[in-house]
Amino acid sequence: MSALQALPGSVPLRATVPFLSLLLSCVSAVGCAGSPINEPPAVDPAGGSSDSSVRSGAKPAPESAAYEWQLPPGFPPPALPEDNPMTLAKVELGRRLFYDTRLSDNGSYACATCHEQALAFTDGKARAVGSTGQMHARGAMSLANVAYAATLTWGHPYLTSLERQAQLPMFGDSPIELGLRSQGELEERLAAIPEYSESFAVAFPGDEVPINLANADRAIASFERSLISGNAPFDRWLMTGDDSVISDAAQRGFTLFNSEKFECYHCHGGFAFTDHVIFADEAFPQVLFHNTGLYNIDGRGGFPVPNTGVQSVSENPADMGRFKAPTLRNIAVTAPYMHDGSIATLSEVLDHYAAGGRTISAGPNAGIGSQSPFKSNFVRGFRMTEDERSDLLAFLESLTDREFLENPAHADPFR
Amino acid sequence: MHLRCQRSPLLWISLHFFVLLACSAPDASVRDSAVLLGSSRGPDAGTNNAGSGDQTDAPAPESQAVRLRFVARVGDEPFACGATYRSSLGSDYTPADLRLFVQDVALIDSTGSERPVRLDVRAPWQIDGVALIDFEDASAGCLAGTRERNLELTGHVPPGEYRGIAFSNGVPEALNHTDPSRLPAPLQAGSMSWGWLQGYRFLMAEITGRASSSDTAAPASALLHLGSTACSGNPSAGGISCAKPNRNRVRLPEFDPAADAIVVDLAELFADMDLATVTTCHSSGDDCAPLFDHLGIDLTSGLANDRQRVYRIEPARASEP
Repeated sequence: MSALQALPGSVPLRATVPFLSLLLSCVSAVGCAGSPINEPPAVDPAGGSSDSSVRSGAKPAPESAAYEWQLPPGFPPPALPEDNPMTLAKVELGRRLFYDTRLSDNGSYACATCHEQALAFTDGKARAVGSTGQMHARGAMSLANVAYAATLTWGHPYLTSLERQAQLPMFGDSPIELGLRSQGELEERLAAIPEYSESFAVAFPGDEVPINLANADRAIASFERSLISGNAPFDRWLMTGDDSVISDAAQRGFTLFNSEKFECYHCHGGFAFTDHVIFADEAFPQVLFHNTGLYNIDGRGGFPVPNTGVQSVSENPADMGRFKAPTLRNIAVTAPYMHDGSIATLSEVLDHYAAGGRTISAGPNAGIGSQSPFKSNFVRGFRMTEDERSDLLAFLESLTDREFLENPAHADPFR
Repeated sequence: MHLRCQRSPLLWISLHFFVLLACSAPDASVRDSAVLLGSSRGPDAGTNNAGSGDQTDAPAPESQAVRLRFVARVGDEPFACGATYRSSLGSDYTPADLRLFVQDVALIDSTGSERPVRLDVRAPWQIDGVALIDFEDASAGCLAGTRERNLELTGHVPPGEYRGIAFSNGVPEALNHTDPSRLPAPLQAGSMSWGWLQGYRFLMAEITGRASSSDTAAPASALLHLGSTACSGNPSAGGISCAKPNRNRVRLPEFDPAADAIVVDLAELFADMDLATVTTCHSSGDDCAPLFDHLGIDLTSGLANDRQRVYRIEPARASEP
């Protein structure tokens, strides 16, 4: 099978256009094969540099070098807030803050504690645990390609800013995550660290008092946006058409993934392997959430509180159990699965979708998920042979981007 | 809770921005906040903003200073972190937090009309339009708190005889969904900013039971985080609007600003509730029903009603601030 044939015509257009156009440009570009992450796309439909994706009104910071995205082929420029253009200095500062345990009240936790690079910035736990031992209701999400996340966390329609999202783990107390008490306390703590006096000043030239929460948020968000993953074996196969890059099973799995029988691609399609993306100059960004029939505790589609998905924020009954489709990139290293980690393996995830929803036979969460009235039309169930299961798993494993998981630019700078 | 002098240009830019924003908004509560935000002409206004040289307007000649005292009680007893109280249903508990925002403050004149109080700018507790009242002092069981307390708000009203007071627990809508890192204290990020809902906690009250709850291993507790819910929109494109504002309207007709204090009674807030179990109210769900009722908010609509019983007026005591 050639790479071009592998792209199904029915992948949602919005997600496919940049993917496809770059693919076409890349196939004829010398040097593209084998090193996509180090080469800017030969033709970039929306401009490849951070400057072009920053909308008018942004205050230039001439002292800071603009960040060079080095986006993989098919990846459009991310959408950026007007007041936070990417610079290398901010990404580097954000990386230090991300890994700094002094950002927790008791000094034991950093952002990275729940977002480990080797696990695609998840923590391997079903549900995250905060710095004081309190358990979160949901699992830590992967940060791979979070620059393209239309909304943040599992199911929150208006949590859209990475800068503001950083304040949730810092100051949230239900549950306590980093456990910081106040903005003033954090700012005083950062100001007392000599290294930050310099690095904030470099990252935010012209600011009279560069060390403040808003700038810390900007730096952390910039580092998070730099966490681009698009160089898995699957990508190299797609770009080169070299059938030796991934197994025959993985290639067959990709075909199954895109088939109307399995329906996977509807919610997990496009360059980010999720329908929940936003990027620069996008005309009609969509914000989609889906109920996959994971629970039906009351025969009326109910999910166990507090994890009722978008409903818990909107209070709209129709939003019960609706969550965003997480990216499938690096999915093989982010077990356990689902918002509450209630499925241990990818194979069992396939069982859940094959059944058209999960049946829980006993206990407080007992119910027949496939009968939920809120379930997505794409979760209809399917018959899956063991060969098909193996092929789908092989495809999913081909999305593991070792370069991303081991990239020293994303690693702990204190080590 | 630190307003640095260097921040003051941001503060004034913010305030001017919100005045513009609010003046074009049709919503009544936003209009009210515009009145407050746009009228920081009292003698104290601007004293915390050295460097903003354009804010030197003299107070309006007809303006009269007011100081409004708040006191927290549990029934007839003084509120104190670490003290133990007995609920109306017979279980013992100790406070863990009590902080609240106040907006749309007005004094009621002899005709029954509400005259807006223009809040002074008084860092870190007040900006024009909203004030934080903070009863906890981070001692004993109030582990998540801050040492500093604030038991009063100050402002200006037209001269006159005033007999009552009205206010709401809330943060003005024009400010409620702004990034806290861009705002001055008391709206900076911390316990009262509510990142999950991209807004603020209008009132935070928490208690810890002395007995273990019967059905779980968790200690008995009750928690109220009051804020606007059922929101939608996009903060970076057009903003957020909330179907349930969850702002009450407290109206206390017998009040002498010179002699009286406004009492916040924790026993009334948690009245008739089983405090030997776990009650968690994040402003939606059944656990909120009694708490919202006691504060004067209809849980279904999120609108104020006249049923509040948490606040009352008492003569200010010399021993209390």
